[in-house]
Amino acid sequence: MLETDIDRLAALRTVGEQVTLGGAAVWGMWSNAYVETLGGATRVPALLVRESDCAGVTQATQVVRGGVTYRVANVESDGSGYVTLQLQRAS
Amino acid sequence: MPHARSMLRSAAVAAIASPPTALVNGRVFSGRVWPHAHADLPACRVYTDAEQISAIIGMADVQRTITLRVEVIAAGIEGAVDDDIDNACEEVESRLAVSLSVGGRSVRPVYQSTDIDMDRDGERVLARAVLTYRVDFYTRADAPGTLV
Repeated sequence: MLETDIDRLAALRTVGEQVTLGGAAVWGMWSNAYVETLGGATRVPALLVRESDCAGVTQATQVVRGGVTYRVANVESDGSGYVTLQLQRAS
Repeated sequence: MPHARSMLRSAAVAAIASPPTALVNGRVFSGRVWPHAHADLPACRVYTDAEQISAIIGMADVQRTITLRVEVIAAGIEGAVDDDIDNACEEVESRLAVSLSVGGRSVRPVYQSTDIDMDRDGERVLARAVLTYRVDFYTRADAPGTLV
């Protein structure tokens, strides 16, 4: 059986959390990998959301999670119905 | 007696770190390999790289040309990080534009170049500038910690 957009929403509601994307509340799955580069240590925040929730999302669209505001640095779509938003802190 | 390279690194660290500057603020390390967290940036790492020796058989002294490198590491947001790293570099360049006391002698680092890299994959843009200096001095051939 093919996965539907409703299935994807159900999956994100099960394992994800609600964040604000471009001013709208959406469900997504957060990741925040640790990396070391150029002598510094940093985190790589990313948000997996449904592609249908990303209409109008561009680089610099704001994401708010836990009171911290991020900007979308890159929109990665793989055609699966999900999109990974690479994020940077806005300030 | 420490090796001249060791004394040079110590002198460079002291010159950059003290008194603390506005941005780097004393976060200057020699021989440090662990990554710096955002809260500890900007920061500097000082190390010596290649060394060339000019020696003449029978002479008691050798000329040393040491490559001194200072890594300046900063983190910032897109659009502002270029200024963040350049402002930190300004502090380092100013501090090393003087003669350093190494082994009781005055040596002058000669500024050669700066190479800047940036990584935009993280929550903040990480920038690293590598400042390269050439330092020339003489030591005893049989005592590399004794400057002449």
